[in-house]
Amino acid sequence: MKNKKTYIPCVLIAIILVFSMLGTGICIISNKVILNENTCIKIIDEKDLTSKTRNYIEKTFNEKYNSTGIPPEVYMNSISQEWLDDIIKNRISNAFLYVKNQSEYSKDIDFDALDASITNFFENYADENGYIKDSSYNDKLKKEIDTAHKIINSSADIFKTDTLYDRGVFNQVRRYIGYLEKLTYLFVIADIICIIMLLLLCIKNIRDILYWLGISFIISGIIGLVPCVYITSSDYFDAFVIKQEQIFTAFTTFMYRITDSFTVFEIALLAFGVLEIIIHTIINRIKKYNS
Amino acid sequence: MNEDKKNESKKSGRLLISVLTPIFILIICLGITIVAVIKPYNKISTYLNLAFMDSLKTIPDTNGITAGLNIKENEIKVEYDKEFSETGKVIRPSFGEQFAIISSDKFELDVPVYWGSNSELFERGACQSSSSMLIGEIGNAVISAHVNTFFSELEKLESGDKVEVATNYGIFTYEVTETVEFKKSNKKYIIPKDEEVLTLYTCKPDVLGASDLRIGAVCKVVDKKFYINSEDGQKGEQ
Repeated sequence: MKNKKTYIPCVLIAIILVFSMLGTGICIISNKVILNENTCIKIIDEKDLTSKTRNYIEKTFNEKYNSTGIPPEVYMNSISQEWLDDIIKNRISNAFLYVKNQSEYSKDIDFDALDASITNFFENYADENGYIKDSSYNDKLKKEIDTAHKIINSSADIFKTDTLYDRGVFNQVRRYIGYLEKLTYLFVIADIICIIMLLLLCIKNIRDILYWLGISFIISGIIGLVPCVYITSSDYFDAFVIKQEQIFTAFTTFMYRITDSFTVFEIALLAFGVLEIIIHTIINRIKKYNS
Repeated sequence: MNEDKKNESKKSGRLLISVLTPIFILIICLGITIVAVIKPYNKISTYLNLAFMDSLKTIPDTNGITAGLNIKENEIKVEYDKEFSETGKVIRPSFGEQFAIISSDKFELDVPVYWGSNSELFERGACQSSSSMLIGEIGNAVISAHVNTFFSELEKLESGDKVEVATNYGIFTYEVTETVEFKKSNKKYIIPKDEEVLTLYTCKPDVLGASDLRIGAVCKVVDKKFYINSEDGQKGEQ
């Protein structure tokens, strides 16, 4: 701070360091939280989303009973908790593999047991009531099976991966995901370069490095914390329009988890910055006392 | 003495710079962030507004009721002994609110009518599509219900039959002009119309699975009685 020549460069480097730290945070959270399938899998287990999904499917088939006359047990007896859990988790693993360019996207689900159950019900019904098994019967059976597939598919797609794939979102992510790792390295290198440059600029008065690093970290923390605090305090994601319990819980928990991770990162930056400023002040006081 | 003063002012100057520098950097960084974010935000704001609506800031409960759906049961008066008016104002119900009761000599039970179509509402009564006109307004008021629950007797209606719709703002009498059967994909009877009609429809009963056919009755209005004091028409409870 004593050297007027180094003041402006230090301010400029501090500004660069603020954004470079923000970028580092965003990249790290993206790699470790957003693009980590374990985040989704953990949410499914913690929030018991498989049971919620099964309850929703059961409710839907109960409602359908009013217009189809097909008892919900026809469907539900072939939809076990384990089968549904596998479907939900496989869909997520599959989506992450696709996004990371490791496999093709697949929507295939083994519905054999369900199809057999519906077919069995139709056949029994037709036999008991003397219903002729003509083309109309086959059409009805096919339509009922297709509808059941659609209901289960859409209910079990709790992170809406099919929609994201169909809308081309995954394709876009897939295209840029390769750059994310490079970008993370780039930001980390930028951080290191900025710190080294600050060190060189403050070489004559080395304790000033603590001041410049401190304010950079604090400002980076503040800028990063503003949106996080707004999102958390206003329960922003609770306003999500899809209110199917399993989808709502999956999405909002995922988004709040990202927000929380970023908040922790920014609070750590802020705390580190404050600590550096405190150390800088203490050293200055000691120096002043000694002189 | 002068030297001391100089040193003192230098020190206070340095202290001032130390305090002002972070504020200055913070303002610059905030400015840069706002400028950098403003364009992408404008681009995605429409999607954000669609995906996150403040009016829907409700967490789904586990009782099977869709979050954000505020079901309101009203006690609609079907008999009214006070004054009526031929003209009056309709009261637009909120989504999920029971606002009318349909009765007819052909129906054994009166059918409650809710504003909006939703699976939970279909469990409680007939539903009027919120995109159709309200009872008492010029246009097509479209009401539907499940065939094996609230509209199980709909197929009993014949041309000339009377249907009475008591709402929380008046009582309206309709006459069946046509009984219809149409495919689910055929929107002819549910699209907006210039005349004041009431369209009631349900699924055609089918022996196996859901039917693609719909049966219904198109009715014309024959009597309109608006309550002078619309608050007389209902007693609300949630």
